[in-house]
Amino acid sequence: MFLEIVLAIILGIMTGTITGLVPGVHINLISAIVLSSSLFLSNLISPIILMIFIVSMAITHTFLDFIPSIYLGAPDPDSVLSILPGHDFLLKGKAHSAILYTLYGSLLALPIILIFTPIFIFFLPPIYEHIKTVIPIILILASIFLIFQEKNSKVWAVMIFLLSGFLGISTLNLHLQQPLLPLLTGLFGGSSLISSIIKKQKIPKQQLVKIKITKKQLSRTIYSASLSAPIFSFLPALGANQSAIISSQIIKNPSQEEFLILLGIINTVIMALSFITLQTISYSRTGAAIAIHQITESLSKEHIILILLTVIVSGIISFFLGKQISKIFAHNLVKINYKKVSITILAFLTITTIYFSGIIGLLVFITSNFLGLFVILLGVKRTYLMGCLMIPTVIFYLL
Amino acid sequence: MSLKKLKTLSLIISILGIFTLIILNLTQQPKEITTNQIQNLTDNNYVKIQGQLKESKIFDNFQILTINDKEGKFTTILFSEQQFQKNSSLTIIGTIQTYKDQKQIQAEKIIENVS
Repeated sequence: MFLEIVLAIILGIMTGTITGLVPGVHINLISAIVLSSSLFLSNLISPIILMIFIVSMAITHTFLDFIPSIYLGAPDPDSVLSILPGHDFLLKGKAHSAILYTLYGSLLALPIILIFTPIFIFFLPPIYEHIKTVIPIILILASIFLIFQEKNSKVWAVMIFLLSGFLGISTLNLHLQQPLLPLLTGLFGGSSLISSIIKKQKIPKQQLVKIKITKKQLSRTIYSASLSAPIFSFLPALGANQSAIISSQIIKNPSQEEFLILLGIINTVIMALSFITLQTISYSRTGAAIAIHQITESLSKEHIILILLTVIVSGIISFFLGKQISKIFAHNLVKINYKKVSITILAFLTITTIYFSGIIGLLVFITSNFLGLFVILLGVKRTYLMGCLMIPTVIFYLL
Repeated sequence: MSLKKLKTLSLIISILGIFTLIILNLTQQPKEITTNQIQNLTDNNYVKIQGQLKESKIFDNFQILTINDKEGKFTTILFSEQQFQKNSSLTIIGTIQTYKDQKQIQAEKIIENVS
């Protein structure tokens, strides 16, 4: 059994590395494949081993998905906002530093997960029923808060929030396969790539600078993440992105470095605690946790201990793996033609969209790309584009 | 093309795209299927199927309905408190979902057919 567990963790890390690094390949997709083969696999492998594989893959993914987001501007839905401060670091030749900040953030998430797991097990179930009734109000307040953060044009912020809301509602009601793939990839990934192709962006030589995290930065981000990340782990529609923006308001004037650490913490905390919320409140916001639920039915104390051990082991390995992979990216980025890479990734995302979501998915992808591009050219924050998930979720809870 | 023109063009294309998607939403029709076809369809396919209610299990916030038609039986999940008589003829509109390697229909709407 021990050998099987070790193998499952290693395989999970390898698969999580692929999903984290290849734009458009999300863990939900691999989880769905594992789930659809679970009946066949259950004859060969125990469900616990499949569970460990999924946990290991999901945690590795949260450590590594910032690498394509920051180096190539092609994020997956969980790391869309890292491209904003991350792109700034890239243009200063310090993308590796940005990756290190997110990696340290994800590593800091591990003790937070350990602390909040028993709290979630004992205290969340009795209060969740009350929280559930105020979820739409929380989301509406969060939307108003995010819009009021806009300094350039609040009118455009509202317009973009509403337009992306309409886009989200119409996409999610189209019964597409993987509807979030064309929607979020277009709004955040494809549009960034088009923008850098149009602007003929030159990427400077990347330096491997050692980063400095002061005790003050560390305590501010841990304090802010501990207060907010566990709450966001069971709130729908507010992803790691918005959560990081709202969390960063807890500390005054967060620096870009603090924001990246915060994003790393939140991304990993949300993923790990989603495995726990599924057991305690029968709700989860991640596809990986839902796949585990379908494989194992219910989680025992032993399962939860195994999940936590897998989170810690794969998290620590992914931290060092992420550092090495980022160095390889930093060394080789100037050697490649960034425009050609952007065009290749854009073509890959288009093909992935057609494969999974069909021609109507392509229409969603094109529309999302242009809406994302409009927002970039307008110069307002791209976070309002998350109206595409927030508005449909509020409507779902209210109706 | 100047960035200003591109900005305007991007806004126009995105509004036209959203408008087209809304029209597609309003005009989309579920595909009429029978039990045999369920296993061959991919998840999220929007379908319409008729059958007779054989069994219903009611849980906290959902029901599991077993429906029969001429070709066999299938499972439907319904997230509502709507109740039906055993053996009543139903038209189910919903999406195909896979649960434990088995296809089932997540009902969006169930209409009781009056004979």
